[in-house]
Amino acid sequence: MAISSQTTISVERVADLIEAYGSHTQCWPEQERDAAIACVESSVQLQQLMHDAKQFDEMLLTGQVEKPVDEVLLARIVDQLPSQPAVTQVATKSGWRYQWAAAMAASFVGIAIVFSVINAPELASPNEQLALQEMDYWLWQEVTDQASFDNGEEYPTDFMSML
Amino acid sequence: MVNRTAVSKRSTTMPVGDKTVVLQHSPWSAETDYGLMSLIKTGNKSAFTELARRHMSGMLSFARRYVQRSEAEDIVQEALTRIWLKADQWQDRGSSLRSWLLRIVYNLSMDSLRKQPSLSEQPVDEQASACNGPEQDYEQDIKQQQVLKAMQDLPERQRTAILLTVNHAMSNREAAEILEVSVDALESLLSRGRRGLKQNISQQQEEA
Repeated sequence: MAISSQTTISVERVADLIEAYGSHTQCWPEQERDAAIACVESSVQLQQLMHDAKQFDEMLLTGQVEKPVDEVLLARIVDQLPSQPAVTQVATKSGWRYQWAAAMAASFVGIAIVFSVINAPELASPNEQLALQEMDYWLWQEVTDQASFDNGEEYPTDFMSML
Repeated sequence: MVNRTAVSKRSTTMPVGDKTVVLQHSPWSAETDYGLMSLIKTGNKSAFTELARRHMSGMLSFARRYVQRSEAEDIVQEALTRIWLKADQWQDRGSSLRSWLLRIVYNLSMDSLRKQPSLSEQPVDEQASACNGPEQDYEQDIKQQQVLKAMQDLPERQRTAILLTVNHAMSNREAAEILEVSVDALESLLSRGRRGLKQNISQQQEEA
């Protein structure tokens, strides 16, 4: 059904539009309107259909007058208005506050994650890890050879087996 | 929004039962419907009065096509009260406030008809009574009665489709939205409605 105003429109389709919507072109589908109006202007047959539709529309609107506002009814409606639900308003306001707090918290968490990922130390390769372990072991031996614990018990030298 | 200090503060008093109600006179007359809804959300009765003043007549005449005067007034009151109570739920989704209001009126009218189906059979003569003055052309009056009768004889959906597009000058999308149908389905309703209407009118003319 959707036809771009760029494309042409068939006479049959415009006749359908006139039959459905009458002569009030503002009611015609927006995407077809311009093409349809142009088509009417170039077709005697469609102009006759438009003329008939206009007469029919005028008949439908016969005697339709813009009525003045019924002030008594308006006054009654305004007078009998219940109070607006304050609970809803408060809930909406507090809901808005909660949403704001949640958004802030989420932002902080997000920033923290991004920051930690950016600044995280790069993982050492397996060879580097082995070298680091050997260095630790050597340093530890140096320390334990020279020191003992407060209770006099020597630090176990076979701690590598505990790893 | 309109500058509150720049608008006049006229008002009229209106008797309602045994008391008098003060109606503010158009302090927001330059405000759009959407602007008024924003004010109504904050509990602004004056903005509500302006909105009701703008749309009440259209709502009333639409409801009168389905139900009797007193029922139509109740429906309009109910629809406007809903706007007041549910203003905070209003969201501008591209469709006009008028179509939203007419949709509420339509649904309430249908509810009313379902409860009292006999009402749908009663011809609505509001337009005729509004034009019965001595200056009215007799032929025009007859023609008008024929149109009203022919409209009344149409199936309800077809009648509503014509009312919305012809009498209320709604766009195809707005009318489809109110009837909760696709634009294609609306077109079909309109085509059949207008054909039926022409048929009904010519039938009446033959009988006359």
